Amino acid sequence: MPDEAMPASPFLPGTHIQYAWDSTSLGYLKTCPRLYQYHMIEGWIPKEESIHLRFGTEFHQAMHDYEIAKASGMEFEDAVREVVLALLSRIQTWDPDPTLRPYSHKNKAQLLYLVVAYMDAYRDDPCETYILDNGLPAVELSFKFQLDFGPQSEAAIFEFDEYAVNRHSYLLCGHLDRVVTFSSEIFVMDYKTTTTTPTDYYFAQYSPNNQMTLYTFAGKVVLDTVVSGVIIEALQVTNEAPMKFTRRPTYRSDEVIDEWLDDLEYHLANAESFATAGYWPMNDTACGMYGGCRFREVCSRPAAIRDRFLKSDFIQLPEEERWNPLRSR
Amino acid sequence: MTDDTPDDLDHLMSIDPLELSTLPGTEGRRKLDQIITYQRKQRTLREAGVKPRKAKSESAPAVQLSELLASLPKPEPVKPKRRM
Repeated sequence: MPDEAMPASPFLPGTHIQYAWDSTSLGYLKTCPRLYQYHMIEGWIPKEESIHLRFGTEFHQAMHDYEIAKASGMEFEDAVREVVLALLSRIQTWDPDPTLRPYSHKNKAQLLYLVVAYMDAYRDDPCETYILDNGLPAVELSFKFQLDFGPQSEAAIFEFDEYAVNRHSYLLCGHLDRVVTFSSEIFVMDYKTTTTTPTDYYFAQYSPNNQMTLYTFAGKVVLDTVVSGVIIEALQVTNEAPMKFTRRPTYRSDEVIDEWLDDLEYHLANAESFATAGYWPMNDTACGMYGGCRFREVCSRPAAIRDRFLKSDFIQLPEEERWNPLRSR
Repeated sequence: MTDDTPDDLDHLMSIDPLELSTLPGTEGRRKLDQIITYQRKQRTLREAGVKPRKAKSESAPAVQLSELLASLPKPEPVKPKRRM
């Protein structure tokens, strides 16, 4: 284990009732409760997931390093050197399995190419990084705040006396890649990698969209200012053609955010009832979404033999390594 | 196949990562610049429609970036971060 302090569990003690939510876990729940169960409750991940995660992690870290260097007043080429040197050091021990499908697009050489190409492409970036009151650039900005409702289970009670019953509220958590000012408006910017050319159809997936609405809401709460929406930074990661970067904003009005929050209360109530029952039903209308669910093969088998397929095609992470919205960066 | 010669890759491979540095005027900085320049050259080639050469081929020595980086100091393990 790294020296990072073990984060608190996102679940109420002794239960599977999740009280700390981020866009990832909420997205699983909304897509399919069984998908949520496999990922969040049981910790299964596809073997190839590690490549996507590491590639994304390193790109985000490189962009974080770049923004910090720029904010410190460093010249462009010096910033590029700093970023590349740090990247090379970090990926030295990364040993992605070349037999896995994502390897051809997401490997060390591709990562280095992407990072340098991206910095060059936006050397004169029309989107200016928002500078926080503490003088730091708003990159990899973590947020965590309470909602005004919480789980109804008795497990949510953390203090009880003759005067009051105090319950845990739900927490919304996450990390904003970057906050920028563009055309006098403030946006969250979110990096997305894709192997296909980002078309209108590609960008349409982000409205409505759970993550982008949550991030707009979080931006407003964290910065205490007007945030217009999210700029999707689509990074087309190819292994032959030049990599292309395409930006497009997706806007969120207060009305849209309010409706999302209203809906959230119902979704989280459902999550609590699933956890209380110990059963997360399959949404068999979502299996074909996004090119097909990674658990599709498992769910297509009889329930009695699914474990065998899970164990052969997936890795079950130990509890401390499972996805946890409360883990800091 | 690309039109970059094996010499380009050999040159990249000849760089000792332990000597990389961002300090002005150092040999390490010059070598780091070579790596960055190599990436930019690869981009130019792709933009010109030249397909990048495979990491391993029969006509060139096997080249792996991991070998280039093998002697760098070991970093702390990195926790994966998921994005939807």
